[in-house]
Amino acid sequence: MNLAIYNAKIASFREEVRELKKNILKRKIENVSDFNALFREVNSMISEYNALYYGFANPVNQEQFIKYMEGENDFLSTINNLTKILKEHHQKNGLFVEDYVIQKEWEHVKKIIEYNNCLVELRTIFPELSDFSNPKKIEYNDRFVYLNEKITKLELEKKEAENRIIELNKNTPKGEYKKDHEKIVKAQEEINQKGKEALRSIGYILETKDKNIETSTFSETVSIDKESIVIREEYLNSLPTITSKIEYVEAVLDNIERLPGKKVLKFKGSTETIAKSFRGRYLIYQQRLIKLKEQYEEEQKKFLRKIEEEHEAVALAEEEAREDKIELYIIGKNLQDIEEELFALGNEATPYINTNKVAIVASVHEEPFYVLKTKLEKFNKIFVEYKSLQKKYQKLANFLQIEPISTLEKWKIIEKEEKKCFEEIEFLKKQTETKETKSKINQLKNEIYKKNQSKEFALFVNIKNMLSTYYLNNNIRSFYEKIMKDPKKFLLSKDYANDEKRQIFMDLIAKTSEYIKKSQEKRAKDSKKPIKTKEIIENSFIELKRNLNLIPKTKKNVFKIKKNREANYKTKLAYTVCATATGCAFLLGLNVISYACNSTSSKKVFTANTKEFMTSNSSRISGSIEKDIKKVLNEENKQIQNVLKNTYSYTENELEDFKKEKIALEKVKKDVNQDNQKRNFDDLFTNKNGVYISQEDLLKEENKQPLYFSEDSLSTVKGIVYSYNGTSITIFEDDPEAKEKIKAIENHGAKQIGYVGTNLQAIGTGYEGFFANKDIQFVEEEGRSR
Amino acid sequence: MEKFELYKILTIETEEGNDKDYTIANILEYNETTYFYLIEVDKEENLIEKNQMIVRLVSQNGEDAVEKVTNKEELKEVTSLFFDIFRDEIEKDNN
Repeated sequence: MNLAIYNAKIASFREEVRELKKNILKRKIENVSDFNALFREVNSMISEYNALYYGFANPVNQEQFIKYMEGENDFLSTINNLTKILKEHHQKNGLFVEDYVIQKEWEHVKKIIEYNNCLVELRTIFPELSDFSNPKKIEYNDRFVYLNEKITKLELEKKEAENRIIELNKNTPKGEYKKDHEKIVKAQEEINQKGKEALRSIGYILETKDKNIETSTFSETVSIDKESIVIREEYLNSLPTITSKIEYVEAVLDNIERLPGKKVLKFKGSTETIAKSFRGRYLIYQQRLIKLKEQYEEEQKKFLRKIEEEHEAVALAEEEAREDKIELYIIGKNLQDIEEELFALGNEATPYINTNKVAIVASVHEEPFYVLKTKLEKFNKIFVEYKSLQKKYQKLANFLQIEPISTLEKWKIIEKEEKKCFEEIEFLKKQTETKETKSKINQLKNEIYKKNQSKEFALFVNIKNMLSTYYLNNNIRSFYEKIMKDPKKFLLSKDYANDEKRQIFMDLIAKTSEYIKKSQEKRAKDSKKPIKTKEIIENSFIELKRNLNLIPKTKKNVFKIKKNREANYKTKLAYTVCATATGCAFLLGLNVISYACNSTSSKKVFTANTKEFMTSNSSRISGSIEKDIKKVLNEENKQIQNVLKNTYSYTENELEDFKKEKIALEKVKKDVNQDNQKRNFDDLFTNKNGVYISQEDLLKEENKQPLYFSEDSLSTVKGIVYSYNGTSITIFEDDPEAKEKIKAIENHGAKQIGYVGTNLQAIGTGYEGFFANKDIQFVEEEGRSR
Repeated sequence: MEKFELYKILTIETEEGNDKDYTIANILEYNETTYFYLIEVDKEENLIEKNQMIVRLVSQNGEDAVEKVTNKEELKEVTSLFFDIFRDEIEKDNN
């Protein structure tokens, strides 16, 4: 394809870049405004390059575009990279950059460009130089010698310039300036060493879709490529079509699915598992993908409707076509049955392939076919019928313009082709309208229409096949067919009650899933391999499920949505929503206060405690204690918030004390669980919320007759037991933070109900009993007896 | 009916028969179902922390409606997923 003729725009763009390349070394860059003008120019060229590249739907055309721009790619990449880095460090240094600094930098940039130009020239004349992996003997001539000398001179000058810039950096107060120049220096070294490859690694403008979504095999020992599991907004926005955006997001999701993790959780109740720490991101990105897909489907539907309108007498043709479609379906079914018969004969012959018993007959599905000699006559009869049916099928399919789709792989290919047609039409619409573009657009529209018809027919066939495996009345069968074709219409129908709709959907879902399972088993049996590919009818299955879930389960908990409007204060809501959501409010307990106190700061700050808490399982704490603490902290938060609102008189000292108590309380929670795991007690004693009692007494306690060990048998006190909002917590005397913990929970209303101690009568060491007591005093000495 | 997006305000008819405004704090697609995390808002669009709920988008007589999620297991699963999303958003903000 001759690009210059095909698109004058691309040709003029190339001219523009060539002009810049020619004149760049003569250009005067003496101050910030000169530099900024160049930066803007380069930036707009890069965006235009990307737009032109991604304007091509066909990768073949994209490659041709790259080839067409071959002489300009390197230059654009270098100048883009260098101006970007310089712009960044100008911004860090402040708005004002002295003229001499700009001039010095520009000298440096010119050196690099000059060096690159020489290198490129060398390589065009001596292509062997590009192949670093396989150095060959080069025939030296004058031109080579001249260029080589020039390059070595430039290298020295460049190194001097680099050193001067590093010295300049020493005078500036900000160390980041130096870092950026080190980046430039590093980049230049790479350019020296690897030439073209180095340019690619620094951020080549030809960031192809594949490059951003490289499929790497992850293992736990290999570090995760962060780039491939994050949606880069700039890149996503630069993609010109919805389909390319969908592909990008799908690829990022694929990469997240492949990540290993400490805990892998099942997602969607299927075999898809997502590493726990990435589950949130996965869900957010999935939401975006669904939105993009909905957008694409809407646009496609509108487009298809327009195409159908353009096709004359669509309504009448549909009626006639339906009968033809049914005939096509019947022929297809017969073909399938005959194929099964033929393959049964083939399978019969397989064990005898290398013997005299078998004859090689005509090929079926482009492979040699074996049949037992005794069954030749039968085979020939069936085969003749098979061939004639095949012809009939093809003729009818051509007449209806339907391409038969028998597998999901074919379906996906057709979908991809459809998307490409869609993209090409979008691209052509942006061009100036000519006869050529118009006819091309019409051609593409027809293709989309045909492919859509093929998909519809494939679905029609699959639904019919599925329902025919069940013994259904004709009327019911056609009723079910209608529902499966458009489940949403049935959902919105007012002729059926919710329960009836639910019943029908569930019935269809059960039948479809059974059918899918059986056909996969059959295919696996035939091919003797496990089948991973999906059936065409799975899309219908998913749609049925989706619509079933839209039927409300109860009458009581359903509330009508009367209005759906944009918020007036969207940014305020976006900012506060996360912190307010229930679980987060509890988890952010501490920091809500610190945020409120430092009301000038706009950033949410998290301490290590809460972060740890957020990322760990909440099963570290027993459920009832967690609830109680939640309640207490929430109430406190409210009280403090009110205080802050009204008086703003919360002193720093008070805040400190409050924080300390909170920390102590957190530790109490932690220790309860840890202790319970540590201590190994006799089987006679069961652990009930941190209190050790005998099994007999447990029953009595449940009958609300607390009777534990008698106080006479107490030998030494080892800890105090508190009742705290309906549960009990034990603070052991050997705990170094016992005092703070006691203060913390007593301030939260905890009451002493007893203590744990060693039992005189028990054998062994450790805390062996709960002693109920009214008065107890905790003292510092260990093992204080009462 | 317009599409459902983050931070949009839904006016919902309650059991008592009055209307209340809720903001969509988050959206989750799970098991072919759309779930919303709703927080009530007042007229000035300030959040009312006490009233938060997780609902499922349903269709009643052809119109959009929300149904409270009451099944314990379902609620547990979905709540956990919502908090994963919230946590990810907070960590993104902090970075």
